[in-house]
Amino acid sequence: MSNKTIIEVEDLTMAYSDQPVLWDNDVSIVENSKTAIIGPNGAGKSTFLKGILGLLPTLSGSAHFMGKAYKEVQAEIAYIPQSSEVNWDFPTTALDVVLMGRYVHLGWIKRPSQKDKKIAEQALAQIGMSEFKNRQISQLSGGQKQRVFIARAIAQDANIYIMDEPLAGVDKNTESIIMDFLNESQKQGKTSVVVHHDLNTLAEYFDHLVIINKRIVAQGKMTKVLTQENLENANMNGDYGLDVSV
Amino acid sequence: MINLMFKLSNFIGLGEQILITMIITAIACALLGCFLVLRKLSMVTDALSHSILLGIVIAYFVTKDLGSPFLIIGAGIFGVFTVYSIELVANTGLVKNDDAVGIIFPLYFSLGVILISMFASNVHLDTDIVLMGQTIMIPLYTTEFLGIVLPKSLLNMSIILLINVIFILLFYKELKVSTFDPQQATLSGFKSTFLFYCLMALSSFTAVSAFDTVGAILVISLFIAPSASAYLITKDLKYMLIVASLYATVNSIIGYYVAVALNVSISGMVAVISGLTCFLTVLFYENGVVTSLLRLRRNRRQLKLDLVIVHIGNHLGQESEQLELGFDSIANHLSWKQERSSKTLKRLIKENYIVAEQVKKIFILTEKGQERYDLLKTQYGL
Repeated sequence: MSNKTIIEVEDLTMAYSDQPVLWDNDVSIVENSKTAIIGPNGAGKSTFLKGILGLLPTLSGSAHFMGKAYKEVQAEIAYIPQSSEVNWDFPTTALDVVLMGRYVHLGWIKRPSQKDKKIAEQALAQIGMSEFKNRQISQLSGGQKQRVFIARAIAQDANIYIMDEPLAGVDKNTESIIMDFLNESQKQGKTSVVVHHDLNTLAEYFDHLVIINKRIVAQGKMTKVLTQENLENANMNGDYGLDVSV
Repeated sequence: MINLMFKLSNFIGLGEQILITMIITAIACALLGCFLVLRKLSMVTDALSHSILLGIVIAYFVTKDLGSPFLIIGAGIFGVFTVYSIELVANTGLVKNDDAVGIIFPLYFSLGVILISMFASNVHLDTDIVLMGQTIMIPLYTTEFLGIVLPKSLLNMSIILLINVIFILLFYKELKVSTFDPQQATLSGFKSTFLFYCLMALSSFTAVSAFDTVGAILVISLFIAPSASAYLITKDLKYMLIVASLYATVNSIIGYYVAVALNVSISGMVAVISGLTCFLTVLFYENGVVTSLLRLRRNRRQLKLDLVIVHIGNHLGQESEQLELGFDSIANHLSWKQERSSKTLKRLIKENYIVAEQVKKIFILTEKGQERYDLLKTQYGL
């Protein structure tokens, strides 16, 4: 793993109307890392991801991916939202949702080709969802929905994966499938940035850590950053019963 | 001079002209309605269809001509402005989106009504027509297009339908992703906001053009009822669009003929039929109210049959079979009333699951019953 920065966030400040959510954040994500983002509820983790992707307006600051603005490299970046953020009652199939991962390569008006469909089917197969490809999305379980999102990111064939709590509320099987995917991606030289909620699996699953609580409390290699002191600074002490003797 | 003009009315009766216009209007509305229903914008459409009245009035004051195409354009622009106003009020975070709709549209609509009654009470822009349309007058206002004389509404609505179909065909993929997951659409380089306002502009143009046919209040039923029905019974956006168009067509045809037979408002009857078919769909579709009840009843009845089959299967060949399965004693063992058990047993015999064995005077399983018993055992892990 190099120490090259792949995502550079500078002076990012965000607010909901007049309430600041994030204050002047500088974050560097290391290339080919598996970086976790943690923080207490309302710390602005999701807001941070949406801010750097341009999904929410920012008051100040910038984010660069591989040294470029998001627009120039959008096909290289896959975002996996919290699964509650889309309309699962939409009349469509699992395969069709995965196919949406190809849209960024197509641009306006052009329809997905047979090749795109093949890529989408392979993506579903990779996460063990082939048998559900024609299932209507409202009929999928929580874990299956999350896996459909992962398959959509696979189909996009991106270089950076940005995920908002992909492991929240999923079954053990789905959790290990998602982690296999992240580990495999790292072997292929890809980078992932994941909002994570479970301190017990944190050090096992990820190698870099960013602790946010409206401001950046600490960031860097997991072994250096995951300390009782940093967690306390982020108001994350006590509740988790964490054994920080890593 | 020989008149070479091709008149539609020479070939198709006046009534059929009304019907065709109605169908085309209904389909144009239903296609956009699918996206409005999926985006949960039904009530915004209602607001739109009312507040564009103000747009029409303002455009009329400028052009002084009720037939001017600027009326449609003015109303369309005003529709988009209405949606923008609603978003603006809702985005302050001080009122909810629903409330914003309730604040904005009565404001614009009442301004429109007041302006009509103050300055235009003597022109043919009266409120009854605006609210209910005047379907029956469709064939009377004709226009010429490519050498064909046809009702103006028919021409207008055909153009609108064509525009809507082209819009959906061209941007099908973009509309789909931005309706399902707007963030993904934005991240893929498709402006969700742009598509949203395109959809709203087209809805406004469609609603205002449908004014002649159905008026401002009933147009909402053309937008929403067929799409809501189609949403219940289809699993794919493509089919939802097709099925909604079918509903729109059927509603128009039934509504038209019923209205003619009863001599009542055509647009009103089409709206009533649209509501009825939607209501019937709610009752009878796969997970509908009545369907679910029927399924529940059927399942309960099957459960009773299965229960007896399992009981017989379990005790056949055992020492206790005489007691457990005897003609007279089986009801006691199930703790059922005589009447209920004989009804169930009769049914089982009729469906060839069990037979009455006359030597031992007990019930035994037939081959079919044995199969069912084995299936139930594996199914429930007995």
